[in-house]
Amino acid sequence: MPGRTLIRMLTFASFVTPSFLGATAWIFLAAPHSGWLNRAWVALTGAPRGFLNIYTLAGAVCVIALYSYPYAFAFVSSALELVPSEMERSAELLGANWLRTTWRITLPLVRPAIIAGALMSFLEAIAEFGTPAFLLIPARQQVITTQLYLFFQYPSRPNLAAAYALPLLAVTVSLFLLQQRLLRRGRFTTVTGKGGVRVPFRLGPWRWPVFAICMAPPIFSLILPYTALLATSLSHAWGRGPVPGNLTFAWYHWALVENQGARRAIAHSVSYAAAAATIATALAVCSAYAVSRRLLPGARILGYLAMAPFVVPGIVLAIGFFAAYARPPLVLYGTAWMLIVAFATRFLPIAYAGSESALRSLDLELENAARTLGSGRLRTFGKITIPLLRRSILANWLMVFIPSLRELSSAVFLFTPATAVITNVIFDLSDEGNFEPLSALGIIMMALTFGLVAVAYRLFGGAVFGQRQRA
Amino acid sequence: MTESAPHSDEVMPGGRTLSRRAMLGAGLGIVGQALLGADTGRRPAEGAAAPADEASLYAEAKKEGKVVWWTAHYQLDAAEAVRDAFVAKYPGIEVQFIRQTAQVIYQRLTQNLKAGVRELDVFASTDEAHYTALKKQGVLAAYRPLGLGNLPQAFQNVDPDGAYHVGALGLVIINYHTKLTIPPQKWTDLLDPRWKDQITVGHPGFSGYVGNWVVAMWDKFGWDYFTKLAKNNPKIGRSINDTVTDIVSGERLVGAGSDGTSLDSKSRGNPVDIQFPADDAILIVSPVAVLKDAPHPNAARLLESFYYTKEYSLAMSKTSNYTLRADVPAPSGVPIDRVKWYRNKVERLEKGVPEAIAKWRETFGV
Amino acid sequence: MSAAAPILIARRRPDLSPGVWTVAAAILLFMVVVPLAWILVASVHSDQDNRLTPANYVEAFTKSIYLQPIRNSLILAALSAAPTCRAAP
Repeated sequence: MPGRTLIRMLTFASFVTPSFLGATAWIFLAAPHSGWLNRAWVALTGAPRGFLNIYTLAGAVCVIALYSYPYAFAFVSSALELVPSEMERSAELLGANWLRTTWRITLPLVRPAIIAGALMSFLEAIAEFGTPAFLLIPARQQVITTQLYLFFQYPSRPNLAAAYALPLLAVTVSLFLLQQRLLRRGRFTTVTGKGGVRVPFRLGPWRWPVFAICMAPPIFSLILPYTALLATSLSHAWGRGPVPGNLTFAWYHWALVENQGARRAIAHSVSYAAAAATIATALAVCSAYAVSRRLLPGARILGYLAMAPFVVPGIVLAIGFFAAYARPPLVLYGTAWMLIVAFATRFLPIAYAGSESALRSLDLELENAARTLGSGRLRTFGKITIPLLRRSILANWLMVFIPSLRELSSAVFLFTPATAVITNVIFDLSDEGNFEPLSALGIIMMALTFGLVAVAYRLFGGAVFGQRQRA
Repeated sequence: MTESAPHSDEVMPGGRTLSRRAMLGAGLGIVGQALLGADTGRRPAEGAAAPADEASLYAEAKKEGKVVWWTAHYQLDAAEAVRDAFVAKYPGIEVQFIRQTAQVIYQRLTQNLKAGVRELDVFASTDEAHYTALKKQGVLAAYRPLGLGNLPQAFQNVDPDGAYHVGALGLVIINYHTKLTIPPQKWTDLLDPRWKDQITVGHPGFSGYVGNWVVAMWDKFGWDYFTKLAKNNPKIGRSINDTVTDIVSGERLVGAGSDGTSLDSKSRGNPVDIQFPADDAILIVSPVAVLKDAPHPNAARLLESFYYTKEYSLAMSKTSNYTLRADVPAPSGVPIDRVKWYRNKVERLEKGVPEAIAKWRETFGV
Repeated sequence: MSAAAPILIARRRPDLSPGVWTVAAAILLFMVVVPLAWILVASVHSDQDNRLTPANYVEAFTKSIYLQPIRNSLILAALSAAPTCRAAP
């Protein structure tokens, strides 16, 4: 199929794009009266009004699905990589065409992965805060996460929020356990294909239609939204549309020079994300090491603890942090640490999973040699293990840094104006409908992210990302 | 509980229709006619001793170097204009500000107080009830800002103990897209089914202006007003200022908005205008206060005093908000003389706003 | 590795490593267990007077304005997950 690398890259790009930014862009595109797509429709057909309305449950579903499909993509494509080509080839030799082969051979083999991917998307969607807040409050529809947010508004009910959050946690935990079971069972099926050779599939004349289908999600999740965001960030008023006289760079000047709050938020985002990434990576390496070498009694529990935040929705984690660290004896609220530690916790599982798999593939001989020569455990760890893991550590660091930079759902509960990050400013700007500076900040945030991704790609090559994407 | 007449007795005894000019006249009466023509660079009302005070206050504030200001009084660009004017007048003091809806900044302040976080110097919300609550907790500093005498007299002592003062005046009115030739004339017109899917409002759980407006509508027309309004499927934003975005973009045609933001947008060439409702515009008297444990106490005092300078009123007028001083005319093109207004009493707001938020959530689902 | 060689007969330094792992474990407790435990604690205390009470659960799961969001969340998540069953290249 043409453009395989392109599709992988685009999928990764929609993976790193936070869905609240996508939701904002879709307001510009599909607000019932003023959305550009609706206006184009009205202009073309003369209909009294457009047919799209983003301020609906369906609208929110579409936006969330667009940004959560990369999870399914990651699961399914990793499963597909294990499907041996021989099985598909033998089906073909027996006279099956490719559609039939895919339907009868390939799909059953990856079905568990598909279901696991769908569960993953479900987990993401139910924990999602930004998109419902932007799209569903105007639609007068509430979901659990927006209701939790309202509990923290005046007159605030933090304890009621805690009670209300626990079932959400129960749902995510049980779904995660279900997903683990499915994956374990799935592995047995695909493991039979171990050692099989992968031969690229020839689609023949079907190439282009398949390519078109694969390109559809990126068009709606990336190309249209980023165009809308860019256009808005360069407009005096987005409602006027792309007409002459509406073009301005003022909002970038506003965000980068003029508005101190925005400038500070950018600095905070970068420094907090860096600190969170450092803490998470260090902690992940240490605990993964302790677990894999069984250095502590009950080391396995350490591993479970490090993976636990994976199933805790960001908003629930934030409520916990608020309950625990916004009052004496230990007050982190109001300091940068509140956000740093929350980010580090939230994305610790990514770093832990990465460190664990890297440690597992590490040869023990070198370590043992050093130990035999009398080097202490700590010294061996520092002088032997860490240098060997350098690449993986850097990759983990980045994979925590990137989501920390764009994290909204926990930041919204934990910041004070003195510690606001980019996403806080974006969320605050949305309340007044200040969409132009919001878009400019969003573009700046994503430029930072993609810049980093590009650097990482240069340093580590695509393989690291292809693999990490699954974490 | 609220005042029955559109003109507040306590503000303007005598039963006349209170007008902008009358209010200013009252203010001027106190200030004294002789000071009217005074040099604009000085602040006439403070008398001879004032400049020295201001100079020493500035010197002390400069040592502190910065001031942290949370405001809900007006739209973002007005807050930026105030910041710019302050920094121009008092170089060397950095102004860190956020503009957010009243309930949001109040909530953040409450959380900070609970956690013992000292971060805020000057608190400027649009819900007067916040200040009575904060005063009860004893977290506001009693301070009489310099130049307070520049205010219309009726507004000089909103709090008898001087824990907070008037920082901004504004109205909730009907705003609309200019493609409407005949906008709704009164609040009850919004209940007409012809405005179905065309109305935009803010949320009382976020915006102080909206909370004020909801309580006023509730007292005037009963809660039934909102059950009927809900049938017209209004778009519910958060800030009252969001209504202007909706109208300018053509997303909605009419809203319950604030005069300042609407007129500011109009002055930039956007297709929006305002209609003073026949059944009363809602007057919002927005207070400002210095926190008792402000990290930058003198800079905080300087900023609060700045509210009564000519520069502040000029920044207000530049962004189409009402001015606080007589010597800066109200924003052009808005003859407010005959505006009929209605104001909620603070005792009513204390209980009424939280109740209104709860009822609103039941009626509108958010 | 080069550093390891001269230590062949060197006296073993006291092994600090259990301390390091314990610190890591303590940080994990502080980051993961404490916040989640506090949610539990908070959930059974009243917002008004901080008394021990199950009232929050009663309020959260009987009032229709709080139940509707739960339904919406489930619908939203189920529908968002459905299209991801699409096979990838």
